[in-house]
Amino acid sequence: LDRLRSYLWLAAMRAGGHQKLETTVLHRQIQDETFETFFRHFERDIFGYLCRMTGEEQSAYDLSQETFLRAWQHFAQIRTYDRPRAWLFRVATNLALNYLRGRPSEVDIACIGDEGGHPASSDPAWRLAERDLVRETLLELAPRQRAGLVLREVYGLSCEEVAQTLAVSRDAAKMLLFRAREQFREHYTRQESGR
Amino acid sequence: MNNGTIPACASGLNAATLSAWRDSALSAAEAERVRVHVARCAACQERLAEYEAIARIVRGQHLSEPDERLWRGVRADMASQRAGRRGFPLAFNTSGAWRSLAAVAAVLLLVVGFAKVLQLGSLHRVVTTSTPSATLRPASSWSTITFNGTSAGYLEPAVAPSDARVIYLGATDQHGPVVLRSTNDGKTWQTLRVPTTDLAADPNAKGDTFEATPSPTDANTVLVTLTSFLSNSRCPRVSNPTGGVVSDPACFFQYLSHDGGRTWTSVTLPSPNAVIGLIPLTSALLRTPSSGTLIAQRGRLYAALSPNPDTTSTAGWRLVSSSDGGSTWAYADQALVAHRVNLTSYLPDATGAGAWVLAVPASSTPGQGPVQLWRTNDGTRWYQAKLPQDCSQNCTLVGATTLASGGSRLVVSDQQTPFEVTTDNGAHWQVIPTTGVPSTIESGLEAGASAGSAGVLSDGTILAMFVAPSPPDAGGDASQSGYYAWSPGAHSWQRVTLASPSYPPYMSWLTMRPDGSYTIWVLGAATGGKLLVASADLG
Repeated sequence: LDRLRSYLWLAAMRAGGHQKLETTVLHRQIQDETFETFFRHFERDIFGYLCRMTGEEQSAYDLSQETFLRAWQHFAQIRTYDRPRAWLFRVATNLALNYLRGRPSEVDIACIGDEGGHPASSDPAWRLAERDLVRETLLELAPRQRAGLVLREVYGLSCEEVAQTLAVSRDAAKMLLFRAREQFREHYTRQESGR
Repeated sequence: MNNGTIPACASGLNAATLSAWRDSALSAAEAERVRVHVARCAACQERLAEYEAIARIVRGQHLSEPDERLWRGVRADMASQRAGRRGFPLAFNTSGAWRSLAAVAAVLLLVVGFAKVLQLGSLHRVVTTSTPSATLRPASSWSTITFNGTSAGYLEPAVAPSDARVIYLGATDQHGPVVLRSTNDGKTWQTLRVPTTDLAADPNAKGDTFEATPSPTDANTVLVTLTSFLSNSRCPRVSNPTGGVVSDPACFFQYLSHDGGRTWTSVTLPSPNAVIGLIPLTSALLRTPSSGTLIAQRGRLYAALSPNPDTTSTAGWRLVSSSDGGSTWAYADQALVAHRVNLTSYLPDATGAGAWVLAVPASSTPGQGPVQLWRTNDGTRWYQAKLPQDCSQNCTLVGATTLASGGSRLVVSDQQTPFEVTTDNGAHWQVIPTTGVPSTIESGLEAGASAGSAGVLSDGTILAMFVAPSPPDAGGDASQSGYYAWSPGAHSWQRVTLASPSYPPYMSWLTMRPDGSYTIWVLGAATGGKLLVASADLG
């Protein structure tokens, strides 16, 4: 019951609480904009998220396309939401988790950008190795841990929003985020020391 | 990133708590304690720096940007849909994804329903004949309950334990907070206006009913908690690290009615600005079917008094009791407090004055344990009992029944071991295996049997909700999810079946009445933005 109460409590807060102000502006904008504007607003976030989730560029394209198609199918509803991004992340997460479950073992072309060096080094070779290391480490995590960590640390979702996105309790989300960090640290340092 | 091992915190603060602190997922009191600790703990600072480094590394990953292929693909799909056919994604095998489209949509509607607190259109309730637990019968009938357009700010229906035909529901209409009351099992509803004297000082403060809790012993006695934080500009919105929860006690007002909501009086508490009944006294089952925040025992009402109505925190709880139906309350845990422990859960015996309690040393940080088990037979003398070894952190009191010998049979749970039972006050514990629960869901016992997803019938049968670890739209097998029963002496769990509807993938909870009967409430499928609630009574 306290689980339910928390959901309702938080839901009520989200409906009328402090997050409303910051989302109202976006909400009103979307009311007046076309679906393409909506798409342009979120495409980088969704594509980047799916890149991190799958580690593959082509899959990120496909799953992003699927996510936005569903958004278009429900656009009449979604455009009224205070936080449509959360909806998109939820759909993208479900699609990614489904995809990863049935993914063939071959790895596609990696999602690695062509530009933008790591601030810690100007050596292009090192930069490439670093990108691979981050990607490999993320892919070592269990998909749900990866989703939680990325949503929290890259896209700024709260612990409660991570819980809702992954359809788990708040306590489970807390533990999932903790384990994701510990796993990431372990894999990253192990691979780093092996280079 | 540091390649070495991070030293352990000398004070024993675990890394999971630091991680939760980073996520602003602790209660205000806990967060403050961690903040103070971290300021002088090098080991914890180092671990937090590592977590920050991880965030920087993940954020700093350089990825390719989406190009126009993406928009072209979406546009082609849109055109295909308009033409009545489905376009193919660029190279994606959609079989898995499309298979779950309906489930995703349903779940999203459900989730969105919570997020937006939609207008509650109808409430569904399934009632079955109460039967002995060994032959649990499926739900047999449905009834649809409709309201006259009132917005239900909070969905939780509270069934009066002493008269199951009486149902209360906290709600809000265009004029302010109301309570919906039915005395005929939901067939018709009466809208009760709740006093807003405390809110009236601010014309902008409309107020909402946060909770309506009927007394376990009297269906006409109901405690309501109003809050004004949603609409009152003078009500400070306290930034709470648990996720935006507003928890200023000044924003909560409590009233009591002894005549079914016709007249209301204020509640007298032993501590100013405190509230009662917002926090269940045990995360397992209580005597009140729905809200579970008032307990009746030997003619007295018990409640948790919270100095700060933050539902996610147990810091500073006191146990209070009332002998006048809830009008005045006094502390009832002095004898336990004398042992220098703070109560976190209270599970009374169904008869007599005995109770089981979970408590933590008063000197420890809330949530950090170690959790202790205490027992009283008379409400005044307490002694400490032994908990199972693996039940020291996330331990939950699931339920207790009285043995023929007069002793107590206690069931506890934690996330590692679903259920353990003792009949000798903790001297020995028996682990209940998950035999009979399909392997696809055996690890999915909801929240370690807490939060109303498990309980113990009067004959000792354990009822527990098992769900697939992954949601159905993520491939979890929901077909086997549901409540399972384990009877004393049984060798396996038996699935409790519902004829119609089947178990929903999410959001289900179990409540209990003083006679030992149970109700299963389920949030059903969401259709057209309406949340449906169903329940099945089980003996």
